[in-house]
Amino acid sequence: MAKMPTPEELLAVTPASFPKEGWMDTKPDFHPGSFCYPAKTEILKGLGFENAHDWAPDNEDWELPENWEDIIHNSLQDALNKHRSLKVFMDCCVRCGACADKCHFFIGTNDPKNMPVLRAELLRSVYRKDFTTAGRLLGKIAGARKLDKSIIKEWFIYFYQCTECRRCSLFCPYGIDTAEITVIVRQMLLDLGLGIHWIMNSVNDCNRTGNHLGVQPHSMREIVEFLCDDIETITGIRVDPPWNEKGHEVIFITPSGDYFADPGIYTFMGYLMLFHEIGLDYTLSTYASEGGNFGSFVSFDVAKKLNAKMYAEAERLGVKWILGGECGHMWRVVNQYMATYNGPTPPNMEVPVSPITGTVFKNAAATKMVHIAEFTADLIKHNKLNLRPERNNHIITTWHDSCNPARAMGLLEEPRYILRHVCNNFVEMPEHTIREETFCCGSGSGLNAEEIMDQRLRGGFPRANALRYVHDTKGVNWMGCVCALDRAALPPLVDYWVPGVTVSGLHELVANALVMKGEIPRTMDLRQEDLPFPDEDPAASEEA
Amino acid sequence: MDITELCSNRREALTELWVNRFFATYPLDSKGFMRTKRDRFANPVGETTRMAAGILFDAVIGMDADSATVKQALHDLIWIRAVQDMPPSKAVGALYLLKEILRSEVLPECLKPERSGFSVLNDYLAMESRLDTLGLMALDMYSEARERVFRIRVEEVKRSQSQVIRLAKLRREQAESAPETENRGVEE
Ligand code: SF4
Ligand code: SF4
Repeated sequence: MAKMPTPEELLAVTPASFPKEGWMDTKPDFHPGSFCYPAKTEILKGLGFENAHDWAPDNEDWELPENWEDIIHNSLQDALNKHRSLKVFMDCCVRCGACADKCHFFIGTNDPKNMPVLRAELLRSVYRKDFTTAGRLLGKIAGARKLDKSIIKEWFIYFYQCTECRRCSLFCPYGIDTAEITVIVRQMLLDLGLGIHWIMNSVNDCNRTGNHLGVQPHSMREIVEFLCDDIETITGIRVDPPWNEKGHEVIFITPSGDYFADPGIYTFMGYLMLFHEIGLDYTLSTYASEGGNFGSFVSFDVAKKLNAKMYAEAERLGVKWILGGECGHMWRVVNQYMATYNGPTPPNMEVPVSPITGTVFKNAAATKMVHIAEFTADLIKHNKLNLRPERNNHIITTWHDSCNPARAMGLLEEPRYILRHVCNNFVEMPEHTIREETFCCGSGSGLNAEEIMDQRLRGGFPRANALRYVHDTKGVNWMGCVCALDRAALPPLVDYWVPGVTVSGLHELVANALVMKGEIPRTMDLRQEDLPFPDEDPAASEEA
Repeated sequence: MDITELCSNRREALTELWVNRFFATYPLDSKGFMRTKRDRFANPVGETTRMAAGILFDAVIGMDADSATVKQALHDLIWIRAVQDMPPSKAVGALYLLKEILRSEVLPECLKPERSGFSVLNDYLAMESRLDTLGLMALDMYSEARERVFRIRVEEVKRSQSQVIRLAKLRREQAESAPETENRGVEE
């Protein structure tokens, strides 16, 4: 009789990516779904990455440049010179393990190399070998290992399995920032000509057209016209946003996903309705047509270049300050890097003051850029908006703190304040899964590529699991968030783990509740779905 | 003592064995965390597995179990494993790890001379059959999960392009309704 394995034998086969040996000796496995598609050679070349070349992750030979070891060595040396933080991160980890189980990728995959401490160790072990005396002399005993090509492959897998969410840093007694390590390793990989298509294609489009989606000026206007048509259908009011006009007080910049993709467009309609209602003196720009910055996921230099257009356009149009839309990583860049990258601000810019309430946004004194949640919360606080939250009564919403606004700028209260004023039913997810400790969507830092959907679904599982709990126990059927990547990444996540929950931006809910002067009684929401609690029609009630 | 009682008396020990076998299908360095972190939000894979194992165990040994609850537990378990980068045999087959446990822990009891007589052995076999049924249900759930993943991938692409599709449609309508001229600049 043919020898067949027993079920136990069959099941003992661990996935190739799961080590049976010690982690240092385990080689990464490449199969479709385990990696992102590589960036196109001509695109990387065009962006100035000299070693761009044709290669495929599942080929044995990645055709690295001959002097690849020197390139890595120099690249790491360069990063160490530039970022004192990196040297500290490399030297000071005491392997206390506080971060180990805090990463959503570890929690969702149970793969030890997704423990933040081990992720950083993938670089640290090489650093020790080449840049520390102990490592040079003692090798493996001192946790050092010699660079070889399989380490490059390992970096490619695991540093593209970190969403740069910084949840781990929150728990590290030294504040070691794995996100920063990830950006630096991705930069080193780019120096070898290794990048991923989803990010680099967006970078390339942004470099060329100003936005990640490569939307050209006329198309951008046409698309926004559509949205204005929709607003008119819903409210009876024609909004007419100014374009590229000089002499306004404010320029509004938002991620392109907001005017391009579902469900971001409803949030964008929300912005336009709000600005119209309060009579904001603003302009949109077809040049500063992107607030997001895919460059920031892979390279500080590229991030700086892509970000420069914000101030350039603010200067050209002579605005006083910038109002920024609902985005995640955009705010990390603005809050943590923009002043250094692209500052000082152009001379025409001033510390932002709300023209409606007179509030001075001192927190934005350096960057002159205000988050729309801060702006709207201030409007509500000063009673400047006529809101009818009852229109959202069919919604029981929870709030997903997007990683970057929460952890990189501390935007925790403003969205909740707004939410409570526009929705009568707001339920928090369990503690330790929200606010600073929020769980990532699993697709941040340019990992919302469709080819790694399985990875995204398991990485996002801790988030979805907490959502599922309030869905099951409190009837939550909606999840608000303040990030364009979330608006792209959470719908598939929710569709898999918690069907029946709708994902939206904050200003979609604001605009649903906003009573605009001269509007028709609302019978549908911004998605043009019937409102279960429509406005009363005054004509009808008069007749009655 | 019937088989249900026999097993339910040892419920804790037997489910613990089963759960540990589940955890053993994950890498060594993660097993400890999955087993010891008893918080459903901090360790959702471990705790969902544990919760499911308890419910499924009761169903297998013939306790009165609400079928919706059993289905949901199996679903939760399988839908996690369906996206965890393992072959289908492993995602679904881990259920059968219970069979080996039952055979080594319960079957010898059933074969003891004092329990002789057909009934207890029949009951034992019926118990294994219930486990087989769960395995078949799990197979359906696994393929449903994979189909959902593929559908989600397609829908994501559509969502991310929603306004371009709208624009393209508009352009086509405009082109179709434009008066025929020598050179409309639109390629047919
Ligand atoms: S930054 Fe986020 S994704 Fe990266 S290792 Fe830390 S917790 Fe994990
Ligand atoms: S918490 Fe900080 S010091 Fe402790 S292991 Fe993690 S990175 Fe190292």
